[in-house]
Amino acid sequence: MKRENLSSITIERLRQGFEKAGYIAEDDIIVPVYLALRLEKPILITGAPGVGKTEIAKVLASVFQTALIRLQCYEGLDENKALYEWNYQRQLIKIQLIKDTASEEMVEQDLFSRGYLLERPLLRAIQAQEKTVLLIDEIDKTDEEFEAFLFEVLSDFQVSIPEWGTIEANHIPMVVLTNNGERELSDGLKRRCVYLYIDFPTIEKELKIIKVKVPEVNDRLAEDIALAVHYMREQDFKKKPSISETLDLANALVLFDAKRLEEKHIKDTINLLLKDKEDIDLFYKELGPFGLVEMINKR
Amino acid sequence: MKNYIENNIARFVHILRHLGIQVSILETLTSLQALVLVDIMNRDHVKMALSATLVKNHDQQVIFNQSFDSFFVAPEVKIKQNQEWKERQEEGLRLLEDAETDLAYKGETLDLTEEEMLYYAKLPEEEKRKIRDYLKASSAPDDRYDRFKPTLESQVRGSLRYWKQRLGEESTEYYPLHDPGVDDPALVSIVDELQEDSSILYEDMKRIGQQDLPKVTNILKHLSRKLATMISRRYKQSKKAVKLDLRRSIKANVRYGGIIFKLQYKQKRVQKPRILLFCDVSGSMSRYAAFVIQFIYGLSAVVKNIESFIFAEELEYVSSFFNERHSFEDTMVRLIGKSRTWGKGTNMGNALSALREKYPLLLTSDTVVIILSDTKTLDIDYAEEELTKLKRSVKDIIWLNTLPQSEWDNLASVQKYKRLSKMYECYTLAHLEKVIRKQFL
Repeated sequence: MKRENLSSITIERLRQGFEKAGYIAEDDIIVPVYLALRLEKPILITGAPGVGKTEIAKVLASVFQTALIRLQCYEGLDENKALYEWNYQRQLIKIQLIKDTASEEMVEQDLFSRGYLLERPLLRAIQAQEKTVLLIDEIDKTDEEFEAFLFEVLSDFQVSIPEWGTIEANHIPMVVLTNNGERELSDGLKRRCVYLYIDFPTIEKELKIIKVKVPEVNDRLAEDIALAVHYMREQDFKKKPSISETLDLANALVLFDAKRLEEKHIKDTINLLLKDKEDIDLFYKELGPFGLVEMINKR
Repeated sequence: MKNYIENNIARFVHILRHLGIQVSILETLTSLQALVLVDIMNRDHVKMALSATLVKNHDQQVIFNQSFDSFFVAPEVKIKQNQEWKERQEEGLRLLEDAETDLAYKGETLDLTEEEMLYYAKLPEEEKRKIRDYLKASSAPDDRYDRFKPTLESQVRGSLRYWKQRLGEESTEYYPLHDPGVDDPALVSIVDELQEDSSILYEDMKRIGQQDLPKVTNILKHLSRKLATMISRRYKQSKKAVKLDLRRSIKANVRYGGIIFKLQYKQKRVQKPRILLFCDVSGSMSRYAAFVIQFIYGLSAVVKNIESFIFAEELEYVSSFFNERHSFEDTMVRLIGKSRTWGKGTNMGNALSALREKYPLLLTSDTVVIILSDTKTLDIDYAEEELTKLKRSVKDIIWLNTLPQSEWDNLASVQKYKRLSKMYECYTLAHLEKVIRKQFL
C-alpha cells in the first residue's frame, strides 16, 4: 500500500486508504478522523464493544505505514506502566558490580542513563523518530488520577523525567483513545479531543463488511447474516453481537458450506453471537432459531 | 456582519450551552478551525465537523442534531420560524392578560405562576366560568375575607392541577413568554422548542405518561449503568495503594544473599460493595410505582447480585422478579400482581426490623443501602430507631427522597432520617442524574 502523507491527506484519500485497509467507513467516521489528523488532536472514539473502535488505530497505522504503539488501560494503571520505569534489578546488579571501583558520581550518572530506562508506550510514542499512531485503548477502565496525568501529556506532548529533564515529542503522534462508556470521562480530557461515536452498522454497511472480510460468503447468505445480527441487536440482550462476532458467524457458516442461514445453523452457531447464558435463554424463549429464520425470510 | 460564519457558530454554541452542553471557548475555536478544513458548502460535513468538536458524549448527540437542524436552515425557513415564534408570544401575552383579569380577588390579581395562568387560559370555557364564578362569590365585600386571598390562590391552584391531571399532559403545552425586546428571537425560539422536547428529564416521574416509558427505561438504564460503575470505582480508588511489601521482598531476596533485588508490592484487594435496594411502594408512593420498578429493573440489569426489597406495611423480597429478566412490562405486571404489600400503608420501622432479623447476612460492612421513599410512615420514632441500627451494620445509607426539597422542612420524618443517611431530592430523572453525577458513592 502506498504510504500517505499526513500534510497532504484529504477526506477522499483517507476514505480510500481505509477502504484499502479493509475498513468500511462512511463520512460520519472519516470526517472526524480526518479532522483529528489535521488539527493534530487526539480522537476520542466511543461506542459499544466490537463496533471497530480499536481497528481505526490499526487502519491509521496501515494507511500511514507507521508503527502502532498500544497502551491497554486497566484498573490500577499508573505512570510507571504507561510512561517509564527505571530497571531496578539492573541498577542493583550494577551497583553490586562497581561499588568498589567507581566513584559515587559516576555510578549515579551511569545508573540513570538510557540503558536503565524501561520505556513504556507513552514515552515510546513521544520519542519515536517518526510520527506514530498511539492507541490508548479503553481509557474508561483507568481511574481519574491517571486520566488527569494523561491529559497533561496529551496537551503538551512532553514529559518530565526528573533525572533527565523535560523531553519534548519529536513528532506529535496520532492519538486514538477508545472508550466503552463504562464511566463518564473528565471534561478536561474530552475537551482536548475530537469526538467520534461509532454505532452498530446499518444492515447495508454490515453486508458490505461481511463481503469484504469473508469473500467466500454468497450474497444471499451474507444478507441473511446481516439481517439476523441486526435483529439480535434490537433485542434487550446484555451483550449485543459485535461486528467481529458477525464475521465469526460468517466464517463458521462458510465452514458448514451453508448457502442460506437455516434453523440448524442458528442452533449450532448461536454461541458465536450470544456470549451470555441469560441472553441465549432469552433468545430461545422470545424467538428461537425457527422464529429467526421466519423473520429473515419475511424481511 | 450578522451572517458571518463566526457569528453563526457563536450563536449556535450559545444554543447548545442553553440546552446543557458545555462548550468551552477552546472548543468553539477548534470548531472554527475544523470548518476551514471541510467543504463549507457540504451541509453534512459541516454538521460532522461541528459534532466532532463540540459534542463530547452520546447523550449530547441528540440535542446537537436537533439544534443543528433547527438552527442551520434556509433563510426563508428562518424567517418563518421567527414569525411563528412572534405570533405565539403575542398570543401568549394576550392569554396571560385575559387570565390576569379573570383570576382576581377584589380587583387584585391572584399570585399564580405564568404557567398556571396560561393553563387557566387554555381551559374549556365552561371550566373557566366555574372558577370565575367561584372567585366572584368569594369576593363578597366583607372584611372578614381579607386574609382569604392565599387560601383562594391555593384552591385555584388545586383546581388547575386537577384539570391538568384530568385533561392529560397534551393540553398543557407551555411556551414561556419572553421580553418583547429580546435580542435574538430565532435563538430563543430554538432553545424554547428544544427545551420542551428534552423536558422528560425534568418531568416529575409520577406524571410521566405511558408513551414516554420506553424513553424513561433507556435513560434509567443508562443512569443505572453509570451508578454501577461509579460504585465499583470509588471503592477501588479509596482503597488503591501500591506499596512495597518489605516482608515479602526480604523473603523473596534471601536467595540473592539478602540484597533487595526483586521487589514485591502489595495492593489491597478491591472490594465492590453489595447494593441493597429498599423501595417504598405504599399508597403515598404509588404514583411513583413505575419509577420504582424502572429503577430496580435498570439497576438489576447492570449490577450483579443486587438485592431488592419493597415495603409498605411489611417487607417483601423481590430480587427474583428482576433476576428472571422478563421484559419490563411483564416484570411490572407480575410484581404488582403477586405483591402482598403493594399500595398499603407504610410502616418503615416494621420493614427495617424484618430486614435486620430475616436477612442479617445481607447487612455487612460492604453493603450500601439505597432507600427510595418519601419518608412518610407510621411510627416515625420506631423507624428512626431501626434506621440507626441499620446504619451501624452497613457501609452507607443513601436516601432518594421523592418529596421536593422545599417540603422537607415541614416534615419531622425527613429531619430525623436525614441525620442518619445521605438524603437527596429525587423525583425527576434529572435529579437522579445529578445525584449520580455528584459521585456521592
